[in-house]
Amino acid sequence: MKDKHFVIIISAIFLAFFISSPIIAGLSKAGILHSLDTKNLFVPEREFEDTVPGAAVLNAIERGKADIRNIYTNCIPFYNQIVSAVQSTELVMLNLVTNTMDSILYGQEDEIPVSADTSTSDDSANSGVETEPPKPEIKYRANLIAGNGRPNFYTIEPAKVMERVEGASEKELQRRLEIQLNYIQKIKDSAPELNYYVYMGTRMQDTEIFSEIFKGALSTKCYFDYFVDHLDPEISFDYLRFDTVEDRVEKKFRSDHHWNIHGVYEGYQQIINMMYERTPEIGKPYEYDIIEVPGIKWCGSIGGTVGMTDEDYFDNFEILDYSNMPDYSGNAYDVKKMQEKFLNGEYNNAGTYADYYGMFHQPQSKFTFRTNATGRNLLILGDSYSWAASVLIASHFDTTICYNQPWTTGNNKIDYHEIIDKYDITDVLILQYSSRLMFGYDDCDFDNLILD
Amino acid sequence: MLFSELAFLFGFLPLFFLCTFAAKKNLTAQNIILLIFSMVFYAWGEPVYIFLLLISIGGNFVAGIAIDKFKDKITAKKISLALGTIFNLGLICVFKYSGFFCQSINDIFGSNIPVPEISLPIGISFYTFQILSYIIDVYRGEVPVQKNILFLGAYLVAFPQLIAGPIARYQTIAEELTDRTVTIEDLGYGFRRFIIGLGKKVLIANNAAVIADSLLAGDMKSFGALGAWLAMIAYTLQIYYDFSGYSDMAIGLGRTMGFHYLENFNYPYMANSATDFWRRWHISLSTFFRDYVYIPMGGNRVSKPRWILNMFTVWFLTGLWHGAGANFILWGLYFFVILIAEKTFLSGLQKIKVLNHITALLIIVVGWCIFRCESLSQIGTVLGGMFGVYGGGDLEAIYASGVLKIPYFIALIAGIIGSVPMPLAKLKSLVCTTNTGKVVADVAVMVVLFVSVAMLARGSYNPFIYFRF
Repeated sequence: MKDKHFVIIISAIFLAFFISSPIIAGLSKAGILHSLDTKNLFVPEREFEDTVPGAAVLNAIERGKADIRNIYTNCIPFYNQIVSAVQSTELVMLNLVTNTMDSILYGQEDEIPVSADTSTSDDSANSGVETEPPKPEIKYRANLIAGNGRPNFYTIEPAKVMERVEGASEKELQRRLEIQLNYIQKIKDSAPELNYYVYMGTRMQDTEIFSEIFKGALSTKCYFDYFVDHLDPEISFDYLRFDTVEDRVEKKFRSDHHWNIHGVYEGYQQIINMMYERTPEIGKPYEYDIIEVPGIKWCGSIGGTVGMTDEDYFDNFEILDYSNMPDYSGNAYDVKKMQEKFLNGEYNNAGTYADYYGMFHQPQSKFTFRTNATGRNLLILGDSYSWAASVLIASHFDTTICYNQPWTTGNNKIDYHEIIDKYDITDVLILQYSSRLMFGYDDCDFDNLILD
Repeated sequence: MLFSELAFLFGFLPLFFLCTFAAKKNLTAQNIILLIFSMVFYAWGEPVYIFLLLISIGGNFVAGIAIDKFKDKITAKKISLALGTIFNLGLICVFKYSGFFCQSINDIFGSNIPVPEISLPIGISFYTFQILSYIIDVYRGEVPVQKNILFLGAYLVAFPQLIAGPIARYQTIAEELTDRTVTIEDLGYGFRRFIIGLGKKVLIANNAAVIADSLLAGDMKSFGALGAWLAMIAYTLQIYYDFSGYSDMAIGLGRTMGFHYLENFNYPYMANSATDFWRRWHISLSTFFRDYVYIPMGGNRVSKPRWILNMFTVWFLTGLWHGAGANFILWGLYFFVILIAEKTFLSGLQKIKVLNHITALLIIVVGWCIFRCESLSQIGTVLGGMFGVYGGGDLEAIYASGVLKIPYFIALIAGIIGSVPMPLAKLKSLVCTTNTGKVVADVAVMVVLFVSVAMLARGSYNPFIYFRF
């Protein structure tokens, strides 16, 4: 090709991107396109305190840089299509490697059916009871699909669920675990007259069955056991159980790291039962029906990160029927209205990769269900796991205050005793996802709670 | 800002070319545009240290003027050079080495000197050596002094080679600062070279880096020889393609502006000896040390003990230049020992080419192990792994580390093939002799561009913030 033609073509390509990206950004801000409706937005890399000379100018420059990055990343033509295409190609290539390596390392272990036991036929004839033939035993296997170790992402086959598996050195995990246990102890010691409860939203990685399915991956079961053994015995503890892969499929989303409504409901029941043992005045768990929200098929955090396009891994969306729940005040979040909106289909077009869990459940700060009915007021130190359960738990207390790390707190310090005094707190529940509760990941390590 | 950022490729670069094109008849305007854009390029990542650059430009401008002014007064001229040199070395010592020096003194003597924690100004090693070459060449009378501070600034901070070289000596581009043209052939060459460099960085170096980083951060004892060699081959390719890729991009961009930077790499992994390797690797640095340290100290035209001291000085400084860390100094001294051996008692043994080549590669890879590892114990573990101390290796553990992926292995294979000149030379002779062949070659370059952009787009997609919920 002549230099002239080559230069013209390359220049045209670069100019096209240069000119069209700001136009796409403008159209997105005007609501005509949606390129900037993404979780991939760049934010200023640093923020200068007001005490720094020229802070206003410096912060404006940082915001400008983030805007330019957003324009020339998220708004380049066909950005989403390019990313999806590359992710899909990576997934196809990864599956090829996974299938090859599995057959080299583990042989063919897809399904090992167990033959039906016919020896019971005589017994059933004698007893007059018909027995079902035993179900074939399914061998589950985790396939690595993405990641560089910190973390790695897997699918569990043939269950069609996805898992994020953290990686870190044993030394680092132990160090973080000790820090978290110390924090929890300090929280309790600073106001020992209150009742303390801890509930952990566990992961597959924390369970007994993890190592059988995730060959070669890091198991955190020993750290979970250490956590349980070293938690102050006066603190009541419970956790979301996964004894089998079927439990995992039932209680958490396939493509997201959060618990689904089945897990939320079970967790709520476990928490209230745990609290009931000490304070029966709060009552036993209420019963709720589970409703599927029609028309939603979504891909959550894990699926979105790896670019999952196979709908077998997508989730439907279910909620509880909150219509018989008592009304509450003190919170702009109205769970009954949300239920109505979702069931009316108002959120159905949010998109496959929209965060339906976060849209429905949302972080909340305060619920006041009734006053002087139980005489008990609850403080929940939570995260996004507690979003889904807070309103349910709060319905058993007079007033409930929620602090969800790290957003509602951000980098602001919270005075623990001020909250206790202001709201007459009698009970404290720490309800978090295990990677945060045990290891303080994702900025959740209680260091913004002033205890002294 | 990095060359391999979408904002640079589709925001900064087109705007720069449009502004330069608008000033195409006015060289002064072009140099000012280059200076301004280069300042913005640097300030994008390091706004505070832009002042350091300005101080360096100002200080060296004055030093150059003083040296020229005192050209007939030897003592004053020497003092001006000395002050200029101390000024430049002082800047780099304070900002790059002060923490390391203080910590080393504390570790050796058990003292308690406060260790300054100064973040490293990016590119300081490159632009300091670059400007040193200017004042020394002015002193030697090899180049005329630059009396336009804006032109000197444009030379020093020109964004193509500001943060990662090559170290462009002033004499290389002195004339082009004041008199240069850009032909369509320059643009064609420059764009092709830039795209090839981008491909080297994004498609090969970045993928090789994932293998090296994952394995070297993991349990080398379970990875064994297989994992250790895989890690080190990956790192050997990563560092070459990362560095040479950046050099290609710098040389390509320079050419589009009318600057002819010198080549920085010449197929270093074809070397037959460590000596040969250093004639092919980071040529701008090794020639700098040769011309400004080794030869002024007497080179090899001195007594043997003095020659050994000269070599020790050069290789100590080479190691130190690469980083403020004991492993970098160790790496430099490692080559000192190897080079002395090659020039003395090993000189008669270099007769079998293939054996020489294999030995040279082994020396290079072991050297990279010293360079890359963060501690002596890690060096020992990785070298132990490479030489079978921990057995052959556990394929399951390597698989669990996540490095067995097709794109990474394509990158490794392409990297190995691309590190020798023969396949590309053969391809060129087959393809580029006809017009159709040339079109095919250019289409291949465009494919490299598209795939690199696609990979950069994929790499820019990081919605991990959701995991904070």
